Amino acid sequence: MIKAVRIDHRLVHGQVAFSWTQFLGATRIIVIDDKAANDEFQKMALNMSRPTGVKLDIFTVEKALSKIEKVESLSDTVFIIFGCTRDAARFIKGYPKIKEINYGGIAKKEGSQQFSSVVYLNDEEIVDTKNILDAGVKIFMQQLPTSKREKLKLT
Amino acid sequence: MKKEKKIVIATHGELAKGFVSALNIITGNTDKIETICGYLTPDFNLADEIENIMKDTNFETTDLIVCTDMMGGSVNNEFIKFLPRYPFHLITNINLTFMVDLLLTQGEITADVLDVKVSDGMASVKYVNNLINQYGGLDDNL
Repeated sequence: MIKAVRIDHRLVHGQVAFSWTQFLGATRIIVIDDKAANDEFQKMALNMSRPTGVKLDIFTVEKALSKIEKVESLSDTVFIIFGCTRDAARFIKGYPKIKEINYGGIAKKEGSQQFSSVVYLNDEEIVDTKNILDAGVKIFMQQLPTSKREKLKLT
Repeated sequence: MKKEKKIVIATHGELAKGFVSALNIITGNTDKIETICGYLTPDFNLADEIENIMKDTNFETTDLIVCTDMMGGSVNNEFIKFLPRYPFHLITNINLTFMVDLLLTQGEITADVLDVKVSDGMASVKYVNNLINQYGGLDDNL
């Protein structure tokens, strides 16, 4: 079962590996990020931050879409993490069954607008976000399980 | 009845507060952690501080877990002296990984639970360069 979906530019790190994984009771983390999936060194580094007893997959968008049926059939509690809005929007286009997505952290870049203390979107990311919303996915922002859940409002 | 969990972090200098600052970023919810930052003033008296904590704790309803920075350090040494008199758990050589795990653990903290936590490989000191050399790929079974 896919329990939660998050975008986090730091992928698997302290907040995700410990706080969220524990909170959700996740038994498998699936990172969907073209850049990370094509970088053996980053894959190794992410594997080091994998919590004890939790499985980890790191897929490109294409590979994730090809595996998603199998993922649905697993007995695992699955936590999906995207590294960027672009890959999230592309995945959701191919798999429109995701109900909601947490914008957990998107880095500040030149020309980006601030949406929360840790979420910044530039023009391309705003387009991706519109595409995600148009697919019927709800978007919220929540950094930690203990922090407040905020709505993302595009102006 | 489920016992409450009370965590005290006691260290040399401001390390205890530093732990709380870091835990706030990773887990949040650190209001209930008490800190002892030792030896910052000439009149610091650790034995008195410990005595106060012990007297403030109702051991019938509370599991007290004291986390200190260093085996062999004077903070831990002082707490050891109180172990025969009060039923608290004393953990030393703590690090952020262990503290995150402890904080996120729901339910009662027993001797068995703590025994598992201190043996968890994730929380040990690591030489990362060697881990890189030993890496054999993700065991991707999908």
